[in-house]
Amino acid sequence: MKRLTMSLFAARAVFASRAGGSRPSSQVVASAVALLLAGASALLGQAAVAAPAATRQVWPVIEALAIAPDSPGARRFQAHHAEAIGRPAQFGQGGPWSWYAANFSALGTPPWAIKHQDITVDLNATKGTLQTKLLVTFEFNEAADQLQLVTGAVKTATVVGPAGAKIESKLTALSGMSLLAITLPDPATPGVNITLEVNTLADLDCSPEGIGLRPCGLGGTFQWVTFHRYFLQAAMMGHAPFTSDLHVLTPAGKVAGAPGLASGPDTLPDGRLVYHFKQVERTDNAGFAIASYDPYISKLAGGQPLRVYAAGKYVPYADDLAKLVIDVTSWYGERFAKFPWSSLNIMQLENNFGGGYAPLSAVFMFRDVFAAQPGTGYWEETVELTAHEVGHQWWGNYVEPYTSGDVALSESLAEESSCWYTEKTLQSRQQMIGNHLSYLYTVPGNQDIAVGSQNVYGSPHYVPVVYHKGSAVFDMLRELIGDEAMAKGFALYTDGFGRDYAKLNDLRLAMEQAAGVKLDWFWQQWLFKTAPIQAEVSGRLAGQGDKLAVRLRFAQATPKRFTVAVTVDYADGTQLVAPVEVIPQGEAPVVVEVPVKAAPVRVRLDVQRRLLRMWATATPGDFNLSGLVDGADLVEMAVRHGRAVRVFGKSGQPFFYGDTSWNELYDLQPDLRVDMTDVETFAGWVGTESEQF
Amino acid sequence: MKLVRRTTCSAVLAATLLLCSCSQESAEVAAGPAAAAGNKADAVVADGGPSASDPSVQGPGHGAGGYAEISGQWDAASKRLKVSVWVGSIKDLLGMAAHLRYDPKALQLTKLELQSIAEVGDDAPGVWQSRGIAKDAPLGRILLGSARFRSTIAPFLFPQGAQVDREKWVVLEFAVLEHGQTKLWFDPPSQLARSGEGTALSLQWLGATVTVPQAFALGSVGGAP
Ligand SMILES: [Zn+2]
Repeated sequence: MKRLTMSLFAARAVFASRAGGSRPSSQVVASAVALLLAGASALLGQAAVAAPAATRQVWPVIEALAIAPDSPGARRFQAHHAEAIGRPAQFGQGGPWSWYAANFSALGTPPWAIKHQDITVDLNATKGTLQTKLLVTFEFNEAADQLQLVTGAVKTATVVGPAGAKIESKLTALSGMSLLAITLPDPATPGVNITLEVNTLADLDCSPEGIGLRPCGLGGTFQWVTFHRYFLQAAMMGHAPFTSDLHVLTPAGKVAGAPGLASGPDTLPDGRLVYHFKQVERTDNAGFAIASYDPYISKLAGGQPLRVYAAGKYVPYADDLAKLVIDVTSWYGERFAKFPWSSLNIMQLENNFGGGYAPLSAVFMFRDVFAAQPGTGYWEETVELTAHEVGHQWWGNYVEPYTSGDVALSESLAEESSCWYTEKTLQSRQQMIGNHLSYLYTVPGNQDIAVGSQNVYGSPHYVPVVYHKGSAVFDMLRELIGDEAMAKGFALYTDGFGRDYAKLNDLRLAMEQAAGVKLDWFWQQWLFKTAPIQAEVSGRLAGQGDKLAVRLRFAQATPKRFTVAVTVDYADGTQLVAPVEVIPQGEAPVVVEVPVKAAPVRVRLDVQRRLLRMWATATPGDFNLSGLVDGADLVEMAVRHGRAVRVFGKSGQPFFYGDTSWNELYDLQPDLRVDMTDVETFAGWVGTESEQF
Repeated sequence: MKLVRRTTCSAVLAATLLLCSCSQESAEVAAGPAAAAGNKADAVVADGGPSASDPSVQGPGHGAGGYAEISGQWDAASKRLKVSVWVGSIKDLLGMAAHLRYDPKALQLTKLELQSIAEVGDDAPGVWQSRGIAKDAPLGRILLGSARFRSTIAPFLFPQGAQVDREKWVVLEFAVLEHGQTKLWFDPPSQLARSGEGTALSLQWLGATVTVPQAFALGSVGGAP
């Protein structure tokens, strides 16, 4: 920390003249005392204006930082790592793993497809193996005899034909998955279905990969397999939905939970139980969990059964989570579409699962959220995560992203839905502001990637870009067109694309229709281009008498269009909030005016952080945008002093910290901390007036 | 009775930003209405005492609640009008600012010193630093501002205000250039004080009138100090 030396000024100033200059020479003073006066300040002021201006760094250098551990933000961040539809990160990076093909209504007529799978899973937690017996029903449009399937990595696979005959097959490892090539003895007859029995054995690797969630857990309390693909048609693996019946073999005394209509258990001769889950919807992702669950059974507003599978000491709190889920599904139901499935099951997993996972008609979440109660400290995080995962019932399941470049239609929308819900029900924008800061301060500019990029899955900044920026983008859209139009747009979108695949532009068309405005500029600016708003802002008071206006100038290096809420505080305690449109024409700065009733105490921009932006004062230190750097700016700075989005660990390593009271305007020496260095930098600008514009 | 340490900067320094935890003349000032009243006038040692023909400073005096007010006296020895700005009766002060206005045709500012205010508060010494600005720019408009800042920053440490019973904020000296009356006042749109939470505090910003009798001999500006 830099400190000013507090020594008596010994130097002599050449000090003369005052404005007007018509006074006798006796007013010319040259002394140490004089240096304490206006002249000294003026000299220093001038020097300060000249020197820093040449080298002034306006914007911070963003490094890719880990999030501060053990901070509330870390928990939130971890929770937001939740993945929607369970496609591992390596999907969508080109080659045979690309998503392509078609949507539900336009899958075209592939030579063959999987129609239904009857799946029996036997998890051996001691050995760490998963034995699966599948009856896979194929439908044929052509006389195919080569069937290429993929599944999660398995060690062995055997295929048995309808008559009990062994069918020739070959198993190949491929990017952490397994490719099973089946050769039918005779080409299939189009229109005639064939059911093959496939038996597999897998050694489970439960270390998290890609998305950060643990794909399985074999602990003593909770055992689970999530993100499990069973069998997909290799050529269309991203778009290979099928109906299914899942049977989970369960040790006596334990209960299994999974997506689908639950029934059972049946008892096997060896005393083990079998729980059944009927999935009448076509979907390609699933999972199951086993624990000493005591399911809390309730109903959604539409009458569909809701089961909350909590275990042990968490059971008494399941009703709170159930109430939350009922409220969230109703809330979304009023805005997006009625809850589309015939049931919803919520499963508790171990904490090391690391977040939430939402396959069709189910949600898996880590343990502690099942202990949260309204009014306790953990409730907000629980609501955020639950609302995100429940949001995936619409975003990612009811309407699926068509390509990997459309993943925002799953993650960004689930996150925005959650933020919208928490904003209205918890009266807090903390979640959204945290998302803004995460994107702004953890994604280096040169590593930024567009939300709608086909390669976004492969970005190391996938979460801050897709979850955090993406949700902020849709939040800005909601701010732009209003809650009502947003809901209407979502309803149109689900109407058109429910149980189907959609692209980002399909959502745009729905929103345009709902709002009655063109939004192509918004989509281009925010989904297909990188970077936040970065604007240097100057303010002045213009006019006189009762014709006063605050004049604001926005200079952006890469111009973005936005509407900013300008908040004007008056000395009498009243406040004006005026929305101001900034529409750049080329590179030139944009000047706008806000009529005011009196000289403001301060002018602030986007107080609620609704824009994905970084501001900087073009007249450095004129925080209140009065046009003059003065004591009032120092006082405003004191209010924001001490905030930081970069903190340091014990050994000095920097972390990102999502301080929701952060205001970058005051980070004059931009190092992501408003500290004494900034206060001292401010000193150099005192007395500076903003230039005329 | 609460004892308040009053610190005084011995100099105004570089870049108009003051770090006032430095040289200090500690004076123990008893708080409370009576003590405050007793402390209201500056302790000025003037040769021969004030006379009827000397310039004078007259302010209205504050009522109940927070205030910033001006007091002053003519100092015959230095031939200067010695003026102080006092602030007091503020429960939770994070910072304050104003433009102190004067007529440069009538008065010439010859000394401007900012004192530290609201620095100590309830925390241990060193936890807070007072920073301020004092700048006469343009002439006749003195930009004043003071605020307290934590010495260290951490995620869960937020700004806090301090109680200010009565402290001297600014010390000024003027040479007088004209006979008659002239005003010292705080420009209304510039008056600002904020609490630790950042809310605006309503203070009485009380100016003063300087009277320079016709009998007073002008023209002594160049002789000081
Ligand atoms: Zn998600």
